[in-house]
Amino acid sequence: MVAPKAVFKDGMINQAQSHYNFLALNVLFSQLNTDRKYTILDMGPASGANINFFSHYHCKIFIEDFYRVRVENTSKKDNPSSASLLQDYGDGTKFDIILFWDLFDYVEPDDLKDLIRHLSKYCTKGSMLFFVTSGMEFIPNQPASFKIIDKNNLVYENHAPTTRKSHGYRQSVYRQLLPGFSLYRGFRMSSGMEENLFKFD
Amino acid sequence: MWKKPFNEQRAVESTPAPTQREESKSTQALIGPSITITGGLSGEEDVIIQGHVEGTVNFKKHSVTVGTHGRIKADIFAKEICVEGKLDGDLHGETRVIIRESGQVSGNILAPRVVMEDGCRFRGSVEMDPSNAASSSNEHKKTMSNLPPMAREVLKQQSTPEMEEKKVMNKN
Repeated sequence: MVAPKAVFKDGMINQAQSHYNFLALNVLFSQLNTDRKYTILDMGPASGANINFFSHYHCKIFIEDFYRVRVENTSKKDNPSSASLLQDYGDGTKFDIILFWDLFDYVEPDDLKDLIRHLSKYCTKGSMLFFVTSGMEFIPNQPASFKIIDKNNLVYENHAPTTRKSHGYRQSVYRQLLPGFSLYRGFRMSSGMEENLFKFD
Repeated sequence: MWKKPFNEQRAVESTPAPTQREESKSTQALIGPSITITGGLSGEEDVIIQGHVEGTVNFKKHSVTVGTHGRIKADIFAKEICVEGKLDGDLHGETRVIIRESGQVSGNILAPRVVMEDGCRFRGSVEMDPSNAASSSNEHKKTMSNLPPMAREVLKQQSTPEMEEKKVMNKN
């Protein structure tokens, strides 16, 4: 479901900021309650809006800002693996929610496998993994920032000046890249964007 | 509820120059950009750190501001913490932690309330308990409701919960 404001042109999102009603995210957030504590991993950059949203719940949020860290480390001689760039979450940490946002479009399959294999150690039965992928031929050259406004609304911002070709994987491919997870909810929006909510078994 | 420098003054300054901030916070101690401190730093007044500190910063009853020039490699314990510079360490804020747009933090935050401005860089964990924030907020509302309307208006301008409580006691 896309709000009327969203504009698409030449096979890619052509607007720096758009409001969305993300259905899979809505499913995820509708399950949150204030009676328990949540442990959340946000692979995106720090967002005041997201912190503000989660502040209504008793939770611990790990923020990775993964894409920036990955880019900063690509020039290093030893070329560290993606998993080695992640924080030490500490013994006993189990994530209830992992938010990958649109990073799947920007991480190579081998890196993704490496990441998921590592993160699986911090998952427990029922852990949820959320990500969106673009069905467009071209995507912005860098990931967007996603700001949670409330349980139903999200603002998508991407100020990337250039585009790149999307690898265009579909759900079936991601299922193979996510061992231990199974598809819980998936939505393909009219814009071509695909929302995916996977559950750890 | 909060001290004026943290929300009202800063809210209108997009990228305030250090000199402006120093003027507006004349009651706060200032650790200048050329100062390097290794070891423990503690005190009984608010502080702005524009220099380098490595060790532990302990101002449990006061606010700590890491200025745009501040470079900290330490855990900070304070009532309120505001970061505009670079910090590598954990932040323990009794009431609130703010990471400004220019702030770059690598570490963990433990506070009832956390504010992150768009554009800030943060990597680590944030642990929040809304019940703590609510109890702190309710305490403040209760104190305010006991005051006459004029006093409430005056206190809204610039005060901390502690100051308000003292004023109520003095009035009685």
